[in-house]
Amino acid sequence: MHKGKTTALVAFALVLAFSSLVVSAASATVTIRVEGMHCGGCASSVEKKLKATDGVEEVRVSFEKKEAWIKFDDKKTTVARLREVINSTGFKTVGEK
Amino acid sequence: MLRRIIFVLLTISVPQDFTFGQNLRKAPSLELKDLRGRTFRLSDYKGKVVLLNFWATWCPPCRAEMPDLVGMQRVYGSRGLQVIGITYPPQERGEVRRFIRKLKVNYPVAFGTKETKALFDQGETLPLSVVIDREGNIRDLIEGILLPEEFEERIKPLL
Repeated sequence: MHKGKTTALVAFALVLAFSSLVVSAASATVTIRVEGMHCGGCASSVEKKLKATDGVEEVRVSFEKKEAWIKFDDKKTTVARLREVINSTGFKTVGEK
Repeated sequence: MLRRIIFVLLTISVPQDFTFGQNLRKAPSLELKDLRGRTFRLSDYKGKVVLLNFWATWCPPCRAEMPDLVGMQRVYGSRGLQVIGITYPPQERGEVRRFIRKLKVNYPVAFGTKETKALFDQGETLPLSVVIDREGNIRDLIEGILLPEEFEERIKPLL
């Protein structure tokens, strides 16, 4: 009985460890340089569109730094797709940092 | 008895446009000039669901969302949607006319001022979309590019 409980606990711990490994393996970050943002309003449009994109987990857009920092699930989206989304807001991406 | 109470609760009908705790504000009256110099009055559109879009030719996200606004007007115009563009300064009139022609904009556009936008919102974010219901009440302010899901959730139910 005791042995059974231990086995179950070990199995549970393994599942937890494996799932956290999968989550961290799928998350990636990128900083994309964006041209043409003049004000906070411009940055908020970029941020809004990125946040609505499948696979995007966290976004910070700065018009002062002219860049967008994005945390995303690399199994669901790609940097190329994120650049497309930014370009669709009327601004221009000019590479990654 | 319990069944009867549940039945009564389930059959209490709440009007679709009823929003708990929401104080609706009447849209202010606007009188501006359109692209041809004619007088534009917001009150002329009472009875329609108005999407008042503040924009400028120098604003990249404003330009980017305009084809979508043209599409919304084309698809939902027959259901009572009226998109209206109001420009935000600094704005050269000839440039606005050229831009409107190039994009084949299918909704009225009028020249606004900073004060026009301030009647709805004190911020400087562009684009800004103001949603006005058929009774002339301001129902929503949507800052930044209007996303398709925002249209579905915040405008379409009013149509």
